[in-house]
Order: sequence, then structure tokens, then C-alpha cells
Amino acid sequence: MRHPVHSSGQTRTQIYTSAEDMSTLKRGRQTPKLNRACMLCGMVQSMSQFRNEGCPNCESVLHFQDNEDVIRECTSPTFEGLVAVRGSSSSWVARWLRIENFVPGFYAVRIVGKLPDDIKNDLYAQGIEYRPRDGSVQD
Amino acid sequence: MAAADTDPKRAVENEGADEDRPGEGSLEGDDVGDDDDDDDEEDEDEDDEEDEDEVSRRRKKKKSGNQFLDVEAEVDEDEDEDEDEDDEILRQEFLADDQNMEPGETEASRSHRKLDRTREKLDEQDAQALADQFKARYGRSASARYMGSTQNISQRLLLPSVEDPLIWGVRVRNGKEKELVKQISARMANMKGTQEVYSVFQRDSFTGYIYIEAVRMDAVNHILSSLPGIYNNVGKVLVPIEEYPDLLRPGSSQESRLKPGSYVRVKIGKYKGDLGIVDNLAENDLEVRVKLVPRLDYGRSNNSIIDPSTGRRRPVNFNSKFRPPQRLFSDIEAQQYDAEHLTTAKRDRNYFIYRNEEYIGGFLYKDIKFNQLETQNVKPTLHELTLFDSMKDSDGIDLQSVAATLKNADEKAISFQPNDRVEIISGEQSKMKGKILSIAEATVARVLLEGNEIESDVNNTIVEVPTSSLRKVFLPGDHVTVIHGVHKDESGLIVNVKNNQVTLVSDQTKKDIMVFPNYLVTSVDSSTTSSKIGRFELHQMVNLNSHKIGMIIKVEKEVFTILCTDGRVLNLEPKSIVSALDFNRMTEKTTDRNGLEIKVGDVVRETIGEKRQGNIMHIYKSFLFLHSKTVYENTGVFVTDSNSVQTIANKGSIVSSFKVPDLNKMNPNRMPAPPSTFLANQARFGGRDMTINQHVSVRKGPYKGKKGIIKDANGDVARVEMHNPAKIIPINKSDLLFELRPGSYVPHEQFLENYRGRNAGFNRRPQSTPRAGAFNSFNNSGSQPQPMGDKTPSWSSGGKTPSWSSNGGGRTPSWGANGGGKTPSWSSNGNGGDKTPSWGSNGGGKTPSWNSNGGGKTPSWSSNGGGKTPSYGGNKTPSWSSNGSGSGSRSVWGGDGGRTEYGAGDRSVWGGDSSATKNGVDWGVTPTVGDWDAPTPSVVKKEQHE
Repeated sequence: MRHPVHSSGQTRTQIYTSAEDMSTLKRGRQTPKLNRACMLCGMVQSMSQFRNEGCPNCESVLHFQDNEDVIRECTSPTFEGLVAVRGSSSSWVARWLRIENFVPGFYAVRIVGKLPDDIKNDLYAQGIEYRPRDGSVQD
Repeated sequence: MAAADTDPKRAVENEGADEDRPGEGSLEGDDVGDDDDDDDEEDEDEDDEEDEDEVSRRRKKKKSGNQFLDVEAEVDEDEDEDEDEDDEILRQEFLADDQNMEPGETEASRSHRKLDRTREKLDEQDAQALADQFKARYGRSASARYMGSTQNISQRLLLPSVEDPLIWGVRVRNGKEKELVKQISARMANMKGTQEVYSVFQRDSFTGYIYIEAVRMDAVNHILSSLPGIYNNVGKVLVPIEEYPDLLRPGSSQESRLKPGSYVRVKIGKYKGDLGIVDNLAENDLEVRVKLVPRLDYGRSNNSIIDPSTGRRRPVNFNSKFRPPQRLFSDIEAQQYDAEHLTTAKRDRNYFIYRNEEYIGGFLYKDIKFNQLETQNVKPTLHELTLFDSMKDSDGIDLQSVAATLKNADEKAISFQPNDRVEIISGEQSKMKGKILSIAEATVARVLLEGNEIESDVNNTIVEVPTSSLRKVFLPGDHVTVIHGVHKDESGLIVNVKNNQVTLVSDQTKKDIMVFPNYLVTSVDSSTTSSKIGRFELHQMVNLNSHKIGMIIKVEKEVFTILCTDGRVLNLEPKSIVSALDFNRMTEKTTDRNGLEIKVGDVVRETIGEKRQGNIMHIYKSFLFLHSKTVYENTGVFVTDSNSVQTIANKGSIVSSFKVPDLNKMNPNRMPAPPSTFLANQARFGGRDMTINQHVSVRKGPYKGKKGIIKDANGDVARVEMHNPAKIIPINKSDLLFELRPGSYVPHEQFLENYRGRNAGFNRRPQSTPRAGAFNSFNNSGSQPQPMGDKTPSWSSGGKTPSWSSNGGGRTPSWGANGGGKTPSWSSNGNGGDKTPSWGSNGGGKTPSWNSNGGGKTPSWSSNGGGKTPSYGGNKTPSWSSNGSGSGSRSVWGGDGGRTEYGAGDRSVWGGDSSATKNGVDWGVTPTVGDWDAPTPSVVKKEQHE
């Protein structure tokens, strides 16, 4: 049971994990679990989605499909703040989270974990700046 | 593509046209619209035909349409194009047409055409979908080659403006936030009219809320409509624009990030709940290398567990419920029991790999996923820290990290008291020892440095130190109580003090307890076994010498700790105590600063100083020995002066009903007759209370006017059973009117007199008339010293008896004359005085005093007494004044004890008066009475009378 108080001041951020995110959308139909977040774009998908379809935004640079190692390294099971965006250009939320050019879907506000250095360098070589989404970078 | 170019309708038209010309239709029917040439040709054909009869063309069209189109569609077209005039004809024709099918047109060819059309349609759809698929597959990835376009724009430029959509906070059921985000997201994709909702999100730090980004409120309402888990009646909060970034901040800065050395707890698995120390962090922050105390049994339990189903041994999977105890890794045991799993990777003697896990220095080093660790608010217990500490002597408990970890712990529980020995653990005076003098604000202590051998020059200086940087110092042998932690409230004797750990033997369990010294206080409980030694016992008042009194607050073997009346604490041997003081509980009384009586057991509070509150344990003169549970020093006992305390609660006292002296009662003029002290006393002497079973009427208070019967009486208070409401209520007798005979009521005093007189008269002279009898009997009783005999000699020796009796005698007939003894009639009845001279002079003269008191019911009586008989009045005044402080004073007057107190003269109300010695001389004119004179004109008048 969570605390019922809505306190915007000193809050204890609870990072939720994949284990507790078992809720289903409708009874009887198993929806894909949202249990991994792409560290680059913040997209939240299930492990199998990453494996089968890859990350809809980052597939061209990270190549998740059928690559368990990359999925393990570049997605995080520990994230917080679930955002569902429509993909509209007028959404400030999407702009603020820097996801306005990405496909509609679920994104995480905060993702624990950083991309490994080699992948970071690889991205840099492709002209992509990696900005960690774990709250360590403030700008 | 051919399929895409083809217009089905046109194809149908072509067919229809073809059909018009026999022979051609069957040929071209199958490859409709395949060829551009064909198309052109047919167009021309159509043009030609247009010139011809219009009706026939339509007919053809009808005909063709009939064959290739649905009937309904045909009708539709008809309505669109046709004129109304020939509507009827056409319909007839087309019906006829339908039946007169051309013989060449077979059912088979028709179905062929139909099949062709559907196939064509499917082809067309497939192509569309294919295009979409291609677009989705290649088009997106080509265009979205990781479009982090705003990545290089500073977030400051992304700050929200008024043009941006609004964000509403919606109250939802706790715990349903994520699910609702998902549901709303599904609605955003599928539901119509939700275009204006741009995003929806939740944050774990804002439980019970989801946030919806939209332009307009009704869009939010629309998307939320009939969603379970939304609290609609709470209303939606429009988040202020400036707070938008806070809603989506990635992490709060307060959140402590794990560092090597941080304490964590394992959340799942065999080591669940165990404390770990972070050794290192994995590069991607997802795994943590944690140092743990292993739980190993070296495979021994494998032998004992036999799977019942297979009958074979199976390896035990330990879990959080069933697991070996925490113990450091022992390579010897591993060698002995489970050697095949032990590999020594390095020749370093402390590094082992056992069952694929690393053990360094006896500890397990294990990579654990971040989400399997509890990282917040981890408070290691001393036991756990000791486990980690046990291996290395050099590496003691890091006090800094302990302190940092315990920062969130409840530090208020750690209390320091004056005289605690402390050591300063941080700051400039670090490592200095001293003694606490006082604690100003619970967080800052004044410490007198002493006992420092290294830098002895700082000794005897007083420093102010925050209590957070103090550590208590205890010595083996101290008796302490644990005030915080798991062992809270246990007490025991310290057997060992080492660094920051204190070992004590619990009084309760007789076991060793290890605690931090700051969790201890010197025991407040005096040792229960030795509360009495020889003649003296705990909390007894003792005489130390001729002028020194104290109370024993602590009993130790052969030494008493005694709190003296001046507040000093002495440690004395039993032989230096002169004697024990035995107080009579009844005499241990004094008054507080408001003049209220206080006695042992009452709760009082200081009005000045620390405003301590406590139970009175003993009263010695004006010194109160109080006990408070909130005071730690001197085992909670302190001494204070009775003039500086205020009564909080009385123990079983009636007096507690009023807090301040009632000034009205001090004024004899405003006061109804004193509740006739001696009469009441007399009443008491008479055995059974004569008021019992009397019919009464209440003349005062909330029950005024109600009637009842006295069921029980005790002193001044009668328990009256009211007629309505039917219940028994305690009422002061003076507030009652007694029914002598139906319809006639007299006040209590009069009732008593009457009752006494009547009884006496009837008893002694049954032959006399009631009036004479009463008169005589009263004279008799009055003249006889018998009722007075019970009184004090001074009172009777004062020569009042005659006057009183004459007075009473004078009055008695007037009562008789008036029959009912009704006060008003008696007072108004001037001729009543004729009977007796004394009465006559009084009544006839109508002295001012009498008049002035005439308003009341009894005053006439009292003024009579006061005005006429000085001695009587004089008597009354002091007795009345002493009455002011309560019922107890009646005994002061009547009883011997009161006299004693009176005579003692230094503690009673009278104590302050210099006239104490003069009291015996003459009541009426003593300065004492003079004090009371001012508000009592009757006394003055009395003097005039004389």
C-alpha cells in the first residue's frame, strides 16, 4: 500500500521494478508487460517486444532485435514515471522529455542505468549525443 | 499499377455498354478494363450512342446495371439521375427486363463476373496494405533515423509557456496510477474525440495522482469518462505552469545515491533482509557488488534432506525462511565437508571461490541487481555491524558511517541529563571528557570538562556542545536503563565498556545486551531489592539534625541519598540520620499559593521556574516533596515551596470544586447565615441525622422549587430524592427548606432548632402546651451547659451561653407565635417582639443591621444574633471566616484538633495574624476580627448597640 498523501515537497521516490508491474489492461487478455525501458529514448516495452521488434526509435542505431545482450545492456528494468504520449508535436511533456520525435507509446521519465561506454562512443561516432535519463545530468 | 488505375464503376459501365452490343459483350466480359485501347474504344462507342434515343440508353443502362449491380444500388442511381415523369414506365420495363433474360446470358457467366470483381477488389486492398506495410517498415526507419532533434537544445529553452497545453492532476485510486495511464493511453489511440489529449503520465513520488496534458478541460473529462479508479468528485487540479518541470524531474537531488560503503539490504533470496555493504558499483548502475556475511552450511544439509517423491537426496535450495545462520566463510570447513566445490583462485589466503561465489576475508562478495536491494533508510543494527566488524581488528566500526546511517533515526529518544558523563566525539573539543551541567534546549548541552589527562588545562572549563556530538560515558558497574532501540526499557548492570559498545547484564533476562552508550541512561529506578535498610526506607522523611529535614530518595547499601528541604542532595550513612519522621497523614496539609488546601497525593505544578508538575509525596511545613515521572534527576523527586505551586488535581477532595476563594462568602452581609457551625455540630452529635425522611423543598440552585424527601444525610449534604425528576441528588442542607407541616417550610437551621426544641419539649414536659413547651425546653436546653459542653471551653467560658440562651429564648416564643416559624412572617411581625423584651427591642427598634439583613431568609436570624449579642456575634464572625475555606474549618471551631491548629498559629489561615495570641481574649474586638470588620457592618452596628 502506498502512502495516500500527495506531497510535492520531500518525497521518497520509489523506483518500481518489473516484478510488481503485472497489471493487465483488461481482464482475460494478457497485455505485454511494460518492464524494460530503452536507455536511449526512454521507450518502455516488454523484454519480448524489444527482442522481437526492437526499439521503434533506436533500432537503427542500437539493433535490439534478437540481440539479448544489447537489450540487457541498453535497456533497464528499473525506471520510474510512466508517460503515455500521442506523438503530437504540440505536447510540451514530450518536448520536455525530448521524445517529441519518437513514436507514440510509453516512455519513462527516469531510467536507472547508463549505456555502456563502447555503445556511447559508437553513438557519438554516428553523431548522436547520449543524454543519460537517470537524473544524473541536469541542464 | 493496373489494378490501382482501374475504376470499378467505370468497368461496370463498360461492361454494360458491351452488353448492349450482342457478341461483343461475351468476348470482352472477362478482361474488363485490362486495356487502354479498349477503354478508348468504348468511350467512343458511348459517345455515339448518346446521340441516339435517350430512353433507350437508359434502358440499356438499366438492363446492364441490373445484371451487374445490386438492385438497391440500381435504385439509388435511378433516383439520382432519372426524371420523375418516366419513373413508372422504367420500373415496369426493368421488371420485365429482369424476367426476360437473354438466353445467351447464363447463370455461370454471371457468377464468374462476380468472382472477378471480388478478386479485383481484394487485389486492390492488398496493394494498399502492402504499401502501408512497406511504408511502415522502411519509410519510418528511413525518416526516423534516431531523431533526437532537440537533444542539443538546453532544457531551459524548453520551459513551458502559456501556449503550451495545460496539465491537470487527477486524483485516482492509490496504486492504480500506472494501470490508468495504460488505460488512458489505449483510449488515446482508439477513442474518438481524444485528439486534444496529448499525454498522460504518473510519477511514483506523487501517489494517488495521474497527470493529463490537454488543451481543454472537457477533453480530459471525455477521456476519463466512466473509467474506474478515478475520483471524480475530488476535482481536477490545474498544475501551475511553473511547476511543470518539477512534475517531470528525473530524480530528486535529495535521494541518496549509492556509493561504495553505503549500507544496503537484500530484498529477495537467501540473503533477504541481510545487511550488506556496497563494495563497488557496476558501470551501468544496474548491478552492485555487495559485501555480505555468508550463510553457508558447506553442503552438510544435503545429507539430511531426502526428497520423499524420488527417495533421493536433493540439493537444498535455501530461501529467506530456511537458511543457515550468518557466519563468516571458513575455508577449513569448506575443505572438510565440501572440498570439491572449493577452488582457491589466488594463493592469497583470504581469497576463495566456493560454489562459484567469491569469498574475500570471510565475506561473500556478490553482484546483486540494483532492484533487488533496499537502499533507502537502511539502519544497521549493532549486531550486524559487529558481524562485519568481527573479522578485522584494525578496521573498527566506522563511526562516521554509522552516524550518517543513523541520522534519520529518532535522535530525540537519546536524552542527556545533568551529571551525565560524556565524551565529545566531534568538533574542536573532540575526545574531551566531561560532565553535563545543564541542557538548554535539548540539543545544546553545557559541558564541564574534567578528567582529561592529556590536556589537563582544559579541565574545569565549560563548553557548549550540541548533543549530537556527545557520547555518554559509562563505567562498568553502572546501573542503566536502555531508552532506545530493540532493548528499550531493559535495565541492567554494565559489565563491559569497549569503544562505542556497552555490554550490560539485563535485570530482566539476565542476559548480556550490547547497546550504544547513547541509548542508555543511568537507571532511574532505584534498586527494588534494597528499598529498606534498617530503620529507614525509601521515600521516608528523616531528621538529619535538629533543623534539617530530608527525604530518602535512593537507598543503597549502607548509604542513603537524601534530598533536603533546601534542594541539596546528600549521601549519608544510616548512622548519621537522627531519626525518621513520622507524619500523620491528616496533618500533612498546607495551602498553595491560592490558599487552597493541598495534601499528600495532590498534584500540583510550579507556577514559577521550570513549572514542574508532580505528586505530593510529603509536606513538611511549607516544603513540598514532589515526585514527577518526567523529571529524571534525583529519581524524579524534587522539593519546592508551597507558595509557588498551584493545585492541579486534588485527591478525593470536595474542595476541588472551586479554585479561588469565593469572596461572596467572605462578606457576612452578602452571606446567608453561616451554616450554623455549632448547630450543625449538634446535629451531628445527635446520632441519626434528624433530617432524614423529611420532606423538603429546594430553595437554591438548579432544582430550586422542587420537592423531595431526604433519603440520606451526611454532614451538610443531604441526598434528596426528588419527586420530579425521580432521582436522588445530593444537595446542601442549607439550600433546603424543610416542611414542618404541610405547606410550611423553614430553613435548615430553624428546622434544627425547632426539631430539637420540640423533641426536648415533648420529651421532658409532655403536659405543657407546645408553645410553652418549646419555650421552656429551649430555655432548659439553652441554660444547660449540656449542648455547649461539647464545645470548647473557651467558647463556653466566654460568657456567651447566657446570652445565647436568652437570645434563643427570646426567639423561641416568636416562632411559637407565628406558628409556622416562617421567617418572613416572623420578621415582619412586629408584635412578635412583645413577648420578650429582647426581641421587642430588636424588632421594634428595627435596627439597621436587622433591616439590612432583612432581605434574606435567614439573615434576620443572624442579624439578630450578631446585633444583639456581641459575644455571640463575635463568635460567629471568626468561626464564619474560618468557614470560608471549607467544611474543615467547622472542625477547627468545634473540634479539639482545630483548636490545636488554631493555637499553633503558624500554619492556618490565622497563621499570618499577629493577633494569634490575642484571640483568646475577646473575639469581638480583637484585631483579628477587625480584619474582618471592614466588610461586616453588622459587627460595627453591634458595637453601636452596645
